[in-house]
Amino acid sequence: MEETEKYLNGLIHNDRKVVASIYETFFPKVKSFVLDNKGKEEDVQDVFHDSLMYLIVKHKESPLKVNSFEAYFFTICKNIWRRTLKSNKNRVMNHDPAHYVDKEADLGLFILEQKRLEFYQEKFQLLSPNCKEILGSYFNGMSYEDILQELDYTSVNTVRQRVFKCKAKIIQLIKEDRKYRKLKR
Amino acid sequence: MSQIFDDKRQQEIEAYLQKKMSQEEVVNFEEKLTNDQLLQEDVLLQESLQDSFKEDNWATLTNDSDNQELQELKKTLRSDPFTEISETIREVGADYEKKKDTKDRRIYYRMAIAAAVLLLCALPFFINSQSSSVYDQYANWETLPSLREKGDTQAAIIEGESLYISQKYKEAIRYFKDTIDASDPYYSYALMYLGASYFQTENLEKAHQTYNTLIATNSLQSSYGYWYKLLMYLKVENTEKANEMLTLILSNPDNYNYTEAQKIQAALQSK
Repeated sequence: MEETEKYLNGLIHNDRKVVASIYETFFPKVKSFVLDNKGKEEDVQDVFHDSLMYLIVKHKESPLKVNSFEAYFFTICKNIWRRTLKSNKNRVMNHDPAHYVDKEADLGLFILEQKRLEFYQEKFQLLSPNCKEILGSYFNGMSYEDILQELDYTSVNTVRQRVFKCKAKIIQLIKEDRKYRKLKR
Repeated sequence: MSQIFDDKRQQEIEAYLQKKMSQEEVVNFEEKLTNDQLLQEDVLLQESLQDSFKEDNWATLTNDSDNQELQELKKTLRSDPFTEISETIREVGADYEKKKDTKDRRIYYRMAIAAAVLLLCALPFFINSQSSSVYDQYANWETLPSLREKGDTQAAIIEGESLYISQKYKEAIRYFKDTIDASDPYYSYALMYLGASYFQTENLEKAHQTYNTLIATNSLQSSYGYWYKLLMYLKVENTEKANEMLTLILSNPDNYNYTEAQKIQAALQSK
């Protein structure tokens, strides 16, 4: 906890030494994650920079309460990289190689998207263990047939019904929450 | 629960999002969408839910000038205090890379000398290894990707990883089956360890099934599934199936152990 505060406070106060110490400690891990996941050397610095900026914006907005700086920071780096891969994919699909990059807009959008993801995760945690298991598999792209085999259901139809019910439940939980209206979709 | 979730409507939304509709069905459905705001809202919500939870995807918002919150954030990020911090981060990053580069070069020279000495000493070993099987040369069950080494001690799979490393394979299987579910951010890593644990306990069928699941997650780690299946086929000397796996790995240079797969293919062809 002490370490987390040291890093976060150092960041919002533009403390060069703290930034250097964050680089020394966490850069190799982020680098190997990005390079292992279709990234190039030049992408790593951007991911690292944007993730730190994310922490600064959030911590200035209201003090972040995180148990482990490392785990939280790595999750943010991972999500920023997921977003980059998705944007690159969309650009290729739209035949838009000379895409104009508005860095502040990109980071701003990420901040809102991350907020929405955390809201969804909060609702997901309220589901029954069985719903979490089956929806987790479904959202990760497993077919009904694969889920049938993996989770020992009796028929594809039972799997489908269960997925529909669990999906309906999470949607209900999301819509019932006032925060939902505030989140831009 | 409201009628929104009746089967037909759900099936339609799902088919639309998964692009399983015919051209005509898409046109009809999109017409319905323009007239039904509730349906529109449901489609958007389900799409963003799906993209949010899929490990190798992300649910994006559009850069909308009406989005007040976004405009505020952009203003904040462009303000002086934030641009100053941003510059500091960039500068420290550049310094770090420079320092690292010099250090790496020093290490490289030292390693090159050490390697030359080692090569001379280890020549007899290399000559012997030519006669060992392709499987023995490439099997890497002891060095599965380690979250511990990556420093992620928060991840739930760490305990399973420890059980695997200490060769308590049955306990590892139990652990992964009981604790890890598909919503875990490290689900793919857990599947790698679960599959390997099945392999070590000689339950090859379950190991294959687990790696099929890993492949089906379509995550950034999916291609590890091909590799471990390849190893198992090499072990039982099923060259036909091994070649199938090699073709899959070699279909994309981003796949795990692409270069190793090229070498294996060459070795199998020369036999």
